[in-house]
Amino acid sequence: MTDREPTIDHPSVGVARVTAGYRGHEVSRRLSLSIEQGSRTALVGPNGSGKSTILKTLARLIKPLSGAVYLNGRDISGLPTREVARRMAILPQVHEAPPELTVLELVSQGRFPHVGALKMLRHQDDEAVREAIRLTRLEHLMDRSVDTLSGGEQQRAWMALALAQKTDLLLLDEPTTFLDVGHQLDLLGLVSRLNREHGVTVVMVLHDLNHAARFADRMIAILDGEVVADGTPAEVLTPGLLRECFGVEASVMEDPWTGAPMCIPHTTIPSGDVESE
Amino acid sequence: MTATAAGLARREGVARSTLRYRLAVAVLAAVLVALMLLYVMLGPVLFSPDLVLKALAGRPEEPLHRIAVREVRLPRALMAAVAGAMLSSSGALLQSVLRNPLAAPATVGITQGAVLGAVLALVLTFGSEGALDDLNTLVPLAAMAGGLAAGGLVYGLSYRRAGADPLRLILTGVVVAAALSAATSFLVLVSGSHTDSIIRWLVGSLSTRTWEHLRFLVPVAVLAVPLVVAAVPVGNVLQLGDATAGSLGLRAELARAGVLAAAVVLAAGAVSVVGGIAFLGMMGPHLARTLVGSDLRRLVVGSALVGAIILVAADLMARTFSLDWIPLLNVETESGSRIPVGAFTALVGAPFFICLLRARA
Repeated sequence: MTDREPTIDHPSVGVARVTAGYRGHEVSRRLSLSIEQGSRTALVGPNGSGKSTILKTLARLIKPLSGAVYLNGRDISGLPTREVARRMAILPQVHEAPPELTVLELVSQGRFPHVGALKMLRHQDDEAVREAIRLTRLEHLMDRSVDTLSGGEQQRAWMALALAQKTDLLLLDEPTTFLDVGHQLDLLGLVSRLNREHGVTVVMVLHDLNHAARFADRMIAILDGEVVADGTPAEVLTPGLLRECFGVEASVMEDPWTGAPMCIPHTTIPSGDVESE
Repeated sequence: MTATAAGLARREGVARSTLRYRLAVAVLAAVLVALMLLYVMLGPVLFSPDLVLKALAGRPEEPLHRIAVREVRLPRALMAAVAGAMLSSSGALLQSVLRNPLAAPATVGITQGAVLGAVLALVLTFGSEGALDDLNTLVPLAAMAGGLAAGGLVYGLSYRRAGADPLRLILTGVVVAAALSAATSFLVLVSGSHTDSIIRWLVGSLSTRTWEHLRFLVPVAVLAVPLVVAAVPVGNVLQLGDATAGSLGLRAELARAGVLAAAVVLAAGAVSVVGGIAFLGMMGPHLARTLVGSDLRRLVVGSALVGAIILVAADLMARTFSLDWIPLLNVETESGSRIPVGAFTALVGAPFFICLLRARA
């Protein structure tokens, strides 16, 4: 298997005419999307819009009901799952470490797709694990049980697990939920650095629209499983979209610090009004 | 400076947990060997370590020593160690892969299945020409089949659409366990015979166990080793949750079935010779976890050692204590007034269980 040179024709990951969801409950129908190599994409949308389901489908954690998911131009369902795991890592929304599992033991598991089950019986302390721990600044916590760490530290530990997988594609499902504002900026800053310095392609589901506008270069707004807006943050984060997608009246202005668009929601619009417009 | 300090901390950190693991294994192994020696020394006739070694080496001072040491006490001590190790490591695999601290062979029905198998074999053949008593190795065979069948049944009943979800596995296991023990009680009631040996199966006992039984147990244990070796790295990934396991390139459902199979073989094998020993499969891994952590590579080894120690110690007590001194009880059974070892593990296990629940609350 030779690695293809990344081009626009071979997007990092994409879905083609995918119907995603669960039997009897289709979340999105015949959806097509493609993510360019080296980009940072934020999926935004109201609760229940299907953005997490779409991310899980991209991550092959949910099988599409129809259509196909592509990874580097190849149908993901035809690729061995361990090979996929060497190219794509997912940070799931909820995770719980078993008690008494240390940070190092957790992060080491990131080597599983690379070395295989039997070699995992040996101690894994290679460069990838050390780099993941360094990037997430967990050196001093390596020997601590994950369940004794603070929320921010725990999220960094799980992030380190995904980084130890050494993939060039990283999918994050609401990575900042449960984090305070400092830890949120910290984590998204790390994601941006990985993208800038290591060329990691990032797709993340974010609830905070201002974070999405600041830390992504492409925003995709999802409503009822369909793409309602797709473009740069300036193109997507508009009062019109906020009205249509989230049902809120809001002002959008320029963030004086970063220059990215920034929204301030004012009031919710009673449902029904949006439809009639 | 920070980089160096961090580097030092890291090296120290790794060394600390590894050192701790090695120390724990060394201490546990030493305790196990010492307990087993004590086990062989103690009994109606006391032997000095010197006499034990002579008897083991085949140069006993009296022929009777050889019989007492090599034919009676040694096989029973070995059986306790092997069965304890199997039950406890089975519990470690179950707790990790089902992500539940209460998981154990006896909470998911494997133990009850094996006990039912043994009791069925005893009851069905009673009174016939080929009547089995619990010395016959056909009984362990039937027990083994019962344990494996129970494991399969629980998995099958939990399977819906894409797989068997861990929580559903546990809940199904609890229900199946209850149903199987009800079936066993029913059998005991209607047969009205063999009650003494049946009770020993229910509670778990090592009395009258000889090389004959060890010859059945050891091959099962040896067969389980490659299964466990394969289950450990997979279970390590699986205990991080299905989504993370999927991200790491593991087919969670297939992996779970494989690890469960290893746990079922271990537990069914152990129960098929020692009966339904209570709490050991849950206690062992918990104690081991506090010593060596949750990485299955270490947890399985630690659990095996702790389980062996618990069962050897409990059986030593079971052999040593008798109820003869309570005249009121006037106990007279075919096995004498000995308390089955399972009663001891239950006696220690029940309070342990309560403490565990309270500590988690």
